[in-house]
Amino acid sequence: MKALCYHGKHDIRYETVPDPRIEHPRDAIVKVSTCAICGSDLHLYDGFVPGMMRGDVLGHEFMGEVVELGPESRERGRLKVGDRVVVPFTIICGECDQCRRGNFSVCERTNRNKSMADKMFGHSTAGLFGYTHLTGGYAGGQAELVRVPFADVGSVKIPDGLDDNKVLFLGDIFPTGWQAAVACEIEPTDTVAVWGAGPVGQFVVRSAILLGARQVIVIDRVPERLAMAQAAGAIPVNFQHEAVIDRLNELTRGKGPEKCIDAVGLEAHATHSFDSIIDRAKQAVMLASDRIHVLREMIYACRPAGIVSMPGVYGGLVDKFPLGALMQKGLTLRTGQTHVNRWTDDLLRRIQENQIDPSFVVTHETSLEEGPGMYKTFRDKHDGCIKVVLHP
Amino acid sequence: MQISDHTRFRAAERTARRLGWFSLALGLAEILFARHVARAAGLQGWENLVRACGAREIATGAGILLSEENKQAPWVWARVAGDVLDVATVASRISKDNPNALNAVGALVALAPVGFVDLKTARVLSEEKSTAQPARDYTTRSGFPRGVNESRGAAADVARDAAKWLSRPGTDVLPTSRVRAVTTPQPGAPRA
Repeated sequence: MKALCYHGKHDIRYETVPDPRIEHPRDAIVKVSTCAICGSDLHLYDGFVPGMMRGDVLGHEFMGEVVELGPESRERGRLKVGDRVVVPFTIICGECDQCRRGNFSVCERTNRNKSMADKMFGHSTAGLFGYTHLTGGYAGGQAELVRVPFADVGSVKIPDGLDDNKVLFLGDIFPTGWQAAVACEIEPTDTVAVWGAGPVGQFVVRSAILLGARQVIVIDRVPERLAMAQAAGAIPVNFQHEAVIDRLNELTRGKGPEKCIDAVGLEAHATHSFDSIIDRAKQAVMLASDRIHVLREMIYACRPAGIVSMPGVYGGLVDKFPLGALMQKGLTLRTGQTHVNRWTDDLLRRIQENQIDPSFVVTHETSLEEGPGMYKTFRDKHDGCIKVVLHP
Repeated sequence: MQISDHTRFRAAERTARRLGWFSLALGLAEILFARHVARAAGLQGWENLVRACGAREIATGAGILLSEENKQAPWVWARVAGDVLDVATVASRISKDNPNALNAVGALVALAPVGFVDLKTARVLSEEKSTAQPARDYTTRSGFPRGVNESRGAAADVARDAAKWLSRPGTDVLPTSRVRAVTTPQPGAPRA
């Protein structure tokens, strides 16, 4: 089959790899109809996340048709060949202590490289598709076929009549934005400030509106992204043209936003501030792995006793973290990979009820073969690129 | 794919940042290793001038990196001016009197591509129209089929019960038909 494979920093290739096969009774093989490039794939593309090997199949946002089932998956009766499914990026067993508590992103059984993750993070988190050997080294979904472990419990069945582009994002960025907003415990009087208007940021904005925030402010520098967020009712702040803290204070009568959400992660691109220059220099000489300008600004901007939610991906060690401000202001910090299956049934219902149409975010749609070029287009934000969808 | 003005501008901004880092590195090298740099460029005896050039490089590099990205153009033009001075200085050392004239020729050859990138970047950054228009229009993509106002608070039930959702037991989330006893472990995966 054909797939997009990692061959090093900035080197993604469309190439032939062996077809996946059933390796475990609870597996399924899914024939991919639509997949996407995620912002967190760019962290791999840019070489910021360790644990990738040459030839790894990328991709953790995908959906398709079940074409083969392991005997136990078939026996359990929830899936059958021919079912249309969205596959969440976190692989879950549904039966361990964490899964039973709904903490699916830290499933205790699905990371088959647990010892590696234990060394890195203290304890292992769930296995992920197409996202480094630290999270299991599972082949990803930017491919014609994917082996889906524990398919009977994780896969989200999609009813007929819903376009792929409407439901594809149930596998990652929609629940990621949703969880980040729910984690803020939004009240009708709240101002929610969102750093980053990329795909996750766009879903954070829409989630905050659906959850009833009085005012949503989005901070970015890319005009197309700010325009898309503004279309959903957010107030855009271009950090290249405006002083972010001043503008946030102006919009909140000097008190700061009650809820702040980091939809940027470890590759913050602000370059005009002194701290981001230092971050880049330290990153270059490996004294720090992540650039946390956004996190610093959020903690500074947030109203005392507010909530800081962090769906943005961070990978390692950081420097100059304003722990004093976090503690003195009594802020609550919430973070973590998304417990996708906690949210999917509810969000699928909201799509069916026309509360939201997630296809708004798709700006580029092409064949899987064009994938390597689209990684670059997405990374460079060329041609107004916000979300790339690929078809094998 | 058509490359818009906006895209060219973004690419130039990225190039400017790289030039900023290059300036800082070159400036430090010129100050810390002035003798070596002078010899390599055919400028023996002009070490203090090399150090001065290093200070200039650091100033322009810091200027580029610390300025807002749509305000980098003057600093990149400062680099272009510096390139002209460098070329004039090095060219003046290409003479029969200079035993290292060949090094000066080599330095000129090295300066040419950098100067070209500086000039091209400065010109793109100075094109005012590049900053104005987004590449595409997304102003109608709300994602809310019923409109923004109608959608605000449509999921207020979840917001009210956020604490419950954030600590909800998985057995409530997954239909019981999905949760059954473990019979066979995943290959390579430890058992719970």
